Amino acid sequence: MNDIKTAANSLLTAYIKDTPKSLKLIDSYMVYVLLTGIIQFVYVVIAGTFPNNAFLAGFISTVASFVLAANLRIQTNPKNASQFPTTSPERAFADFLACNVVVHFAVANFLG
Amino acid sequence: MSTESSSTVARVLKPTILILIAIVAISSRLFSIIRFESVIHEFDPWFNYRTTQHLVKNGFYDFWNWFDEKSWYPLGRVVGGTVYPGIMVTSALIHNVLHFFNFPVDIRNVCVFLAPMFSGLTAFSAYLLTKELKDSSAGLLAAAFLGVAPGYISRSVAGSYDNEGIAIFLLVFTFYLWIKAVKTGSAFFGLLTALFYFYMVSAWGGYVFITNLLPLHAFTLLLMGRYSNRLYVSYSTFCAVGTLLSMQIPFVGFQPTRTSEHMAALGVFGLLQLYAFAELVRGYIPPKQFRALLKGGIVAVAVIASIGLTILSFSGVIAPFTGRFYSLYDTGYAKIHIPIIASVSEHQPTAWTSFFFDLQMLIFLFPAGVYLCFKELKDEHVFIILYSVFASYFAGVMVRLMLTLTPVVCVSAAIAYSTLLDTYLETSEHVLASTKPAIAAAATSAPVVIEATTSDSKATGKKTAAKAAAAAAAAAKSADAEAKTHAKSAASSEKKRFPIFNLDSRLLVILQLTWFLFMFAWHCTYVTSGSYSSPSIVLASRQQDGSQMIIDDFREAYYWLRKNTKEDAKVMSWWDYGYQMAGMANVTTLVDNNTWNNTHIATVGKAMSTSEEVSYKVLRQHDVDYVLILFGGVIGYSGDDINKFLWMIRIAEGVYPNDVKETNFFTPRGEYKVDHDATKTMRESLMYKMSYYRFAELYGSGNAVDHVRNARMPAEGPTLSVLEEAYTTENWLVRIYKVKDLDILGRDLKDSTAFDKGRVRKISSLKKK
Amino acid sequence: MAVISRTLFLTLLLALVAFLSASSSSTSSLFAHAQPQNDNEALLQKKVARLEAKAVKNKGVIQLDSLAFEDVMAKPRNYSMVVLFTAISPEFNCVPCLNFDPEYKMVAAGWSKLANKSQLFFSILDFKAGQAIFQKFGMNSAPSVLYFPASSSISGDPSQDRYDFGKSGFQAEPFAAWLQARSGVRVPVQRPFDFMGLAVKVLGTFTAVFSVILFVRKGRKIFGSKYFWSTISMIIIFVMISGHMWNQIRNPPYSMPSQQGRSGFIASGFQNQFGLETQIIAVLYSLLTGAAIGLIAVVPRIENPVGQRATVWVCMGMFTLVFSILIQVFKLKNPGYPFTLMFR
Repeated sequence: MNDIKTAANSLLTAYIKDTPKSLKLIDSYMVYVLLTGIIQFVYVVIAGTFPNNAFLAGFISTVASFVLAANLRIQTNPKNASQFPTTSPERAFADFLACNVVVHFAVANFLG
Repeated sequence: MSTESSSTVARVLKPTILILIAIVAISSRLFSIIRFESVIHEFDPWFNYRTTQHLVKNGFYDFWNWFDEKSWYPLGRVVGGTVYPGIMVTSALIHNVLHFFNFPVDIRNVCVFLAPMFSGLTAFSAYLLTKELKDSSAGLLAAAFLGVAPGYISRSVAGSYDNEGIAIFLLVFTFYLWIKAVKTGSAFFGLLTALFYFYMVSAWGGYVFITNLLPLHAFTLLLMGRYSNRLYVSYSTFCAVGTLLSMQIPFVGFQPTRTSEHMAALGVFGLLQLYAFAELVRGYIPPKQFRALLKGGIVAVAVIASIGLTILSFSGVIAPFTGRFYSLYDTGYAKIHIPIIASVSEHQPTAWTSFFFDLQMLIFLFPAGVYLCFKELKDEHVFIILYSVFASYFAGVMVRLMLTLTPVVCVSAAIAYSTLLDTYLETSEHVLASTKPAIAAAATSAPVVIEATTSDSKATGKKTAAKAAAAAAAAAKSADAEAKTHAKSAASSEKKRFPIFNLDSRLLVILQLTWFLFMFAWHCTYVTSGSYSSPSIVLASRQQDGSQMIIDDFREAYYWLRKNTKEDAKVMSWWDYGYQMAGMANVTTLVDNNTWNNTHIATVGKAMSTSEEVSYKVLRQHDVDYVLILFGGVIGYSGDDINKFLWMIRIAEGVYPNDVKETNFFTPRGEYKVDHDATKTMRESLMYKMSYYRFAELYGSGNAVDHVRNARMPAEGPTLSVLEEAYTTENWLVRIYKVKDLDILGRDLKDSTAFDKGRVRKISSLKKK
Repeated sequence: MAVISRTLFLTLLLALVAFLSASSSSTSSLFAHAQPQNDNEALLQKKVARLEAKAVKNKGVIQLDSLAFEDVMAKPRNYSMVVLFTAISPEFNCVPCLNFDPEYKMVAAGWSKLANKSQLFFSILDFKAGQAIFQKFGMNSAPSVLYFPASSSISGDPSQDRYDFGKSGFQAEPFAAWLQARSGVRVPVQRPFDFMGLAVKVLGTFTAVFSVILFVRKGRKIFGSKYFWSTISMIIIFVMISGHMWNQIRNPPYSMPSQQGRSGFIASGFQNQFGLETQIIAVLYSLLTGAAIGLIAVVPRIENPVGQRATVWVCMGMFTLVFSILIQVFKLKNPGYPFTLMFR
């Protein structure tokens, strides 16, 4: 348990120290999306899934947003630049936008 | 020829060859049109055609909310929610685009030519896919193979307007996009994969194959320790967007979150998220601390997951596998539990002959290609291996799934074949320079061309065969050019490799391989023209003098129905002809090929198999105006209703065991007879009466012979009192009866008929006097 | 008083005599028949004992011929009969007969273990031994199973209780259920102990245990080895493309005895195959693939020009030869196929 605590501490300090600002921004967005998803889920557990399509649309939109933000984070992370020779940060952002447009178009359609 | 100029030549050649391949692919699917005419084939395509017409005429929204009152009378059918709309929307779109540019093409022609057109695209996507795996010469070969492979042609000849026609293109193209996405790690390609996956979901139920294969690929890569950020990006984009999109199709609905066959995708998605998070954490802290964190994390995740799973499975949120899918895993399942699945011929298991018939030499080059994939074993090769193993399993279980196997067979056979060509055409400028490499190369490429031309002249008359062969030979030529650039890199990385020293070895292999290519092309043409090109609504038969006779009774009958019945006439027939009647005769049907309501089908079966009195009640209850049956006794068409009669009886007995008993239709010896020995129940059944009504008159005194069952019929044919003959086609293949109204005097119809007959006889006898 | 009593006695006596004389015919017949009835009883018992002995000897199945059939079916009978009309001999080429035979015997064996086994006997009448009976019953397809309840008299009238193969299939279980509906006794069907299956299972467990041990020891080496995986995938592919799943689902016989000019291991008909046939095809396929791989992977590794040339010729020769054999086999199945490679 102690190990884990120290490890978590060092993780936190390392994260704060080593992460570029833009990535932190994305991270905060991801945390926000994650929390939204959790809230939705809790609500569904309490109140039931009655308009199933609305719940699914909302929940999947958070999941998709989270994942797409994670993609953006991975692709713009300077550490990973060698893995993505063809993807510049601008390109990554354009992909991010395109995906989001498609996702939210579908979500709007699905909300019914 | 220097490398540079050869590459320019290759650059020109490649598109040319691809276009040629597309032309070959399309033209080899046109046999049925040349031989018959531009018609929609078989049964299901007629439904697709009818819905497409509706879509074109009334627009998309009306189509989406279409409640079809003309089928399953009096129940009706919600069409928009029970179809895969992909193919209809595609052809309506093509139709509208063409009309926008003022090409007044009939929607029927769009539908007829849709599958061949898409086969050209399929060949192109096979090229793209294989190019990602090996190089463009292998890609060209794969395109040529897939263009003409009978396994794919079987479902995509002109007029076969069915879901599979576009679905195979979508399957291959989705796989190409997926591989591209995994290779580049681009969210954009992930998005495209998801979009084409969506298209595939809208087009064919076989999308489940993609839904399971892609997660499997991702999972295998994880197990192999090949996790990469590229994999994360491509898979999570695909899965999140694809799942969401797939739920937009009403027929699929919430299944992706409910049924087990979609669960693998979600499970791998979750796993990948955790793995990615762990990877992220690993980047920040030293390994020892990471291990401690990992342990804690795994425990936490395991606890949460097991609790969640228990809750979900207890509350029944996750449904078990659907029957059709389950029957793929447990092969005995369908036989016992779902006879309607087991009885359909395309759900039968595949005998080895079908594999050979559909793929010929590709079937044994295919494992060689898989072997080569193992040798390379990059991420995309792992995919091909998984695809081959699973597709060959599924194709073994169900004949219909040959369709999903064919692309991967073509791709990996092309890899094997082009590697062979590379090896034996390679001009060895590297390792151990031999004395006569240049001569060897010149000599080997020359015979290829010569061989091609000689065989071209041999194959005159077999137009497509020659074309295919020419395209293949051209592909081989460009393989020659390609090999040069490719071989360099390959050879340097591998263990020590030597060139082929002897000219004769090279010649032998190359000539043989080319010859096999020709054989393959001939085989494909033979199979396509012989087995896969009959439309089944127009029959062709050879007469004794060898001339061809076209039997067009179906359309004759449907046309009669269209012209001579009321707008809302209800026509009863066995379900096989439901789609065709709705499509061609535009009448209301009771049952059709969408066999969703067994009771309704059994009711029709009951009406067919009981006596006139009983079935008249059923007919009146369902407002039936006409009854249509198929009768092959005159020309010997064995697929007629008397031969299907046992199924009707069986299905009817399942629902109405008191009214219909199968055993009563068998003679005491247990035979199914229609002649003198026929049982009383048989002779009194409506189907028997309708089939043989006035049959004996056709032949004169007592010589009536049923040519299908080889039975000598009684001279005295059956009499009908509740029906009257309305129309019988030229070859008696289709017979239509009109259901009589209730008698005006309130008499029993049987009595009134007897009375009428009596009167007629009296009058005629009076006249004689 | 005395007179009255005497007359009464007389009348009684007379009445008795009259009664006796009136009923004498029936009583006499009763007495007269008692002897043969006992005879019959004895005969029947003898017959049953004989049948039982036969049945016991042959695991519950009695082999009949025309004479024995008539004898067994002859009227004094307190047992039911199940008769399997079949044609086992190879010249009839009756695949369903062969399929059903073991299943039938299995049910019979199950029955013979029951307490009231003499209530029902299982018998087999082969076409060779009982053509007359086949004709008598107008039997023109085999196999068929008829059930003769104890009470029924046997006549040429073929309206007998017949087991419907088309509906119920050739398995022992539905057949036993059919019998149960008639005899009222549940027949236990015990599949004979499957040694092959046990061996496979034992072998499987050993392999599993062994591989687990291996995995623990040097897991990475084995399971990380692509040779391991490539072998497995290749085997799966070969098994599948040679139509093994068809065999799994349809359960065809492994092979047939060969008859005039037709080999016994290639089934006739495009959509039909034998167990052995798929194995032959799998071997042919793997030879072909092997030759192709040899040409691709082995030949360029050979440094010696002579050896290399020899290998190329051998591989290519094998490839062509096996391919032509394959086409010939395919022509057997699909006689209209027009192409050949080496043989005509």
